[in-house]
Amino acid sequence: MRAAITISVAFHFALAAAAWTGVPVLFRDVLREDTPIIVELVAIDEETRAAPQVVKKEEPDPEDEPPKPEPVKAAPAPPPPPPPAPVAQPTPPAPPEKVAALPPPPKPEPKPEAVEPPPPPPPETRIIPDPPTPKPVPPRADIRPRTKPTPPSKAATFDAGRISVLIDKSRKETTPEVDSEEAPKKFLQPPPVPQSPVRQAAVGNRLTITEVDAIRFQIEQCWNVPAGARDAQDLVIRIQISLKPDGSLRSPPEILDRERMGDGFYRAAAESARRAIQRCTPLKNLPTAKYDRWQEITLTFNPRDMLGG
Amino acid sequence: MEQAVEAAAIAGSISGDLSILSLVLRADIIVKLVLILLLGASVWCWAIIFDKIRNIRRVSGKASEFEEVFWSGGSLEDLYDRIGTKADHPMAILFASAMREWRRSGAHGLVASDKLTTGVQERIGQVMRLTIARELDRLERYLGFLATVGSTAPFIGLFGTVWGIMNSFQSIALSKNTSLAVVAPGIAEALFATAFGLVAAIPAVVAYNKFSNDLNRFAGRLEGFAGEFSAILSRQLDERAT
Repeated sequence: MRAAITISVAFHFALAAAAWTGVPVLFRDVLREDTPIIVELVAIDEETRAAPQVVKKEEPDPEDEPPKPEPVKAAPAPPPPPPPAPVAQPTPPAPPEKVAALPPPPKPEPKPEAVEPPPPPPPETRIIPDPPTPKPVPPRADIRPRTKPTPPSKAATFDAGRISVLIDKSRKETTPEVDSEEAPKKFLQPPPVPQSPVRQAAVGNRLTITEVDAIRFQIEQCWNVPAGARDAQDLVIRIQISLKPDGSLRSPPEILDRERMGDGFYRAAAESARRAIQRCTPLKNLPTAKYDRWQEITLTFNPRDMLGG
Repeated sequence: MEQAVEAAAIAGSISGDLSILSLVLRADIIVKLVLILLLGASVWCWAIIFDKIRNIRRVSGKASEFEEVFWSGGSLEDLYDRIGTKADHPMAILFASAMREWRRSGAHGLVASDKLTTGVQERIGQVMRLTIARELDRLERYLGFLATVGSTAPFIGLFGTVWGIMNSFQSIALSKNTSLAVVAPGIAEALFATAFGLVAAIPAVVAYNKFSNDLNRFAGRLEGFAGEFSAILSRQLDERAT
């Protein structure tokens, strides 16, 4: 019997060893992979900053043509308006307010103007670049990088020195003067010039979709959807939060739709969403330059997104 | 990049938290006791299982050998002299006890009358029944423990689970937080108790069924042998009487 006991003890030790080495491996697969999404956000942030420079380079081209192909410009101009229109509607409030606060967007404008006067002579060959300019506008930042290479090749011959000058100007904050200079020139080439600054302002000042996604993503990670609730897909919760510049909460999150709080399921869901916010703040990776855009946010928690239905 | 590192670190800590050892170490004292009890039961069960496997195989192997020798046609007296008192397996012990009784009866020359003949036969039969019962009892030792563990270990594990889940709910009440993170560790350790109970019980039940089956068959074999042997002895008595 003693031998049997020793065998049994050894057997149990072997079993425990197998569990010790084997079971953790099973648990390791539970890993959630968050990293790629976060990397994406950073990359797009860079692109939105890069965008204005691209637009600057494109502008010289239309300006060169003014003497002969005025009708031609008129033609390319119309296509752009529709795409910018949606973008422009939200923006109008933004640019005036932030001209003072945000130097970068206005800077691009002076550069084109400086370039415009000297190169009037260039031939019609630059009509070709015009079509590209409207195209890149609607799609957004992704396509702009591709357009960059083409303009430099043409502009490099005569713009190289000027570009550096422009960059220098952009570092100084001389926006008001530039605007006054621009005004007269814009009358000559109205369509292309105004559009591009508007777009830049739009991209630079508004919270882009990816930044909204970044906030939403951070909070969704903390939110445990009340999966057992009745009509869970209808439990859309709206919560207003106000944030400090460092991403932490200024005041406790406030649940809108107070009247629905009588419903027990809705109440539980709303409380869970509020806990999620409290747990996930301070939010990370928010662009401090756009603080006034995200200091007051209304977050919409839609279980349908989370439940995949 | 930093985020990736953080994510990896978090993942690492989670997997560490859910490993069996950390679950057990974090468990409530009652749950720990339950687990220790179950572990002890499991060790003892497996000890019995290993012991029985070896024992039953040895016993039935020796029984086969013995039957071969017994039916080989040699003299039973010689066989008894050879085996004598050093019989080490049930069938040999059965044979030896019957032969001992036979010799004692024969030594006094009490085989003269019919009445006495039946008396000797009855005595030998009695001795063989007792021997069979004693030997089977020895073989079946500890089997009851297997049956007990098989039926109670799940309940003991269940008790640990219920206790652990009670703790989980108390921790919900204390932290006023219903998130899974508060409840999960308690439930995980609680369920581990049930799992352990089942791990201890399943082999015990299987082994108990197998062994009681094997022993039933072996008991049948012993009884068959006893019947045949008593038939031989009674024939001898009749031959002597005439």
